[in-house]
Amino acid sequence: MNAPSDTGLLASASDPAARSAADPLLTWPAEGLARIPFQVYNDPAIADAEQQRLFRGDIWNLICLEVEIPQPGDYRTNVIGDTPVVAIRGNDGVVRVFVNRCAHRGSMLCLDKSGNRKDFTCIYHNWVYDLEGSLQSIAFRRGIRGQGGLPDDFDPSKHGLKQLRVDIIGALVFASFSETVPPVREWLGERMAWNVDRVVGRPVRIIGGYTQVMHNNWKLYIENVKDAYHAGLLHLFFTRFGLNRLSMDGAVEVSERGGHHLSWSKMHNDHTEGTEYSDGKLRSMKDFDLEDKRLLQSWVEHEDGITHMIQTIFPNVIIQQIQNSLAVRLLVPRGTDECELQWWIIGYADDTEAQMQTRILQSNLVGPAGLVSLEDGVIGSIVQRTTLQDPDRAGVVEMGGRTVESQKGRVSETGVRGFWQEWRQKMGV
Amino acid sequence: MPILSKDNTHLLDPAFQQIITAAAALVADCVGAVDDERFDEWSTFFTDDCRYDITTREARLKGWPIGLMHCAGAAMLRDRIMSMRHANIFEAHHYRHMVSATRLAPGTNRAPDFASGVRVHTNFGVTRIMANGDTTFFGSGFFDDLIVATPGGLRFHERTVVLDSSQVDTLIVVPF
Repeated sequence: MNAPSDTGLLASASDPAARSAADPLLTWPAEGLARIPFQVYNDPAIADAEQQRLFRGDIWNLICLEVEIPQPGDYRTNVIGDTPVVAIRGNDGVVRVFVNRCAHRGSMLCLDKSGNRKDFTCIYHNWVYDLEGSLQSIAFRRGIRGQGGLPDDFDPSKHGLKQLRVDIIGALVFASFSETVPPVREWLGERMAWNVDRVVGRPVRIIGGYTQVMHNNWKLYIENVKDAYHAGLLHLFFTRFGLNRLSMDGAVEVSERGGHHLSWSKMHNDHTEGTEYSDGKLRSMKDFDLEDKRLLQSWVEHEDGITHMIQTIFPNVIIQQIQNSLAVRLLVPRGTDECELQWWIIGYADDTEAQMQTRILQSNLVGPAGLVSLEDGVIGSIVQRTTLQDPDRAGVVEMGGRTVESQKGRVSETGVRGFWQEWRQKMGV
Repeated sequence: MPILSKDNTHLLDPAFQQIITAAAALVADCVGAVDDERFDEWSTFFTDDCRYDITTREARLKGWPIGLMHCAGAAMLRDRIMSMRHANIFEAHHYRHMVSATRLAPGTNRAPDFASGVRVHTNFGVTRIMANGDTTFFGSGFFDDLIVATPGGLRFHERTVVLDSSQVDTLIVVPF
């Protein structure tokens, strides 16, 4: 971590959301992780506190894929919570991440999503920083004809850009405000890092991308992703065509602190006999069929036989393998009742043309228009609306018990409980 | 067959106008079927071996092969409608398209002829009307269409719906 930073702007980085001891941010229900108080989805004070305690706390935030910034000067902007940041590759080839903000008056430095630049020149007053974040020049620093300009003792070396810690695992560029969070691989743990390597541990190619705006608190979406129980019920397309059923061999695995998770299944190991899938009671059994089944053609991408793997990296990153449809998703809060989901659709640099065609056809399964996943864009909003005026009521999450641990089978909400375990720890509630 | 001119005089050529008017009418009839929720008719505007994509301006600029929806053939269009009706869960809504005049695609350098295919562009804006009346501007963009003559009449052989924004509100289940 280098010394220059816009400390003047961060001098009052206290926790504005903290309430007095007599008025804690949140009192969790006595039932523990088996209940989720509705207040967490609607309280602006909690959303504010998340910015400091979570997104600027001891976590790693996904910024971009490294393949987006291959050359010196290539940059990609994004946000960490509400804070604009920019990842840029320096002339030394090193990827750095800065708060995307001039140390002078706070103007945003890079306005575009991506591009290439030789330096950071602020559009407002022409202050110039090099790609390492050091302040290089200040317009009219000496004033004009002895009038104006900066005081003689102004020290440019104390007014560089705010630089964040950076760590890269596979294709993913992470950054953190924290000086204490362990390196990404250690923070993920061995099992979680295994799947990151499995999906993005070789050269990737971006083959699509979009942003999905949802009208719900961001946590309702991340819970949905961690809820392996719903996938074989809400998503009829999954069950009808045997892409993902709760009766398949599979598991939900949670990390030690609870926040990361893996949910996987093997479609070629399905055992529906004697389950509710085979007695026709579920909505998912209503009969319909596809005229053109090419959408369902796939190859087994990994020797482990896992055909469906969803991973979350705490708190807001998702790595997806649905058959041969691969994606990385980043979930960004927008206040209490809206969030945006950024999608990177990926293949591998060495994909054959036939593999690419399969990925293109399977892209119909995912995203805002995804045949299996479009429901996820609205289900959070359908929950959010009922919780608004009942902060003291709570959701019930007892599928698979009331504690947090990895479980065989996926009729379980252990992943959801795991999220809240780590969220509570980070948020101090 | 009309002759393309450099000084726009072909715009006054009745043969050229006949082609543009017919293309515009096909575009309007197709969005009408969507807006009126005559979804069984929608796929009949396309050739059996058509290509239909919904993508974004950004994806086209970046050369990404994947957009938001990709159908290879009219059977996949019908499958989309089947899935919308029987599989997918969403809140009821319908669209209303507003379309611009239809124009020859930029770069067209030979006289248009439906026998070999006419490529046209048409801008659109579309509002999404929820069952409770909430109306939002859902998106803007243009149709990039290749229209061909078939024994059954004019059909879309290729349609690329190019959305101006890469940001989609909630979901897309009704096609554009």
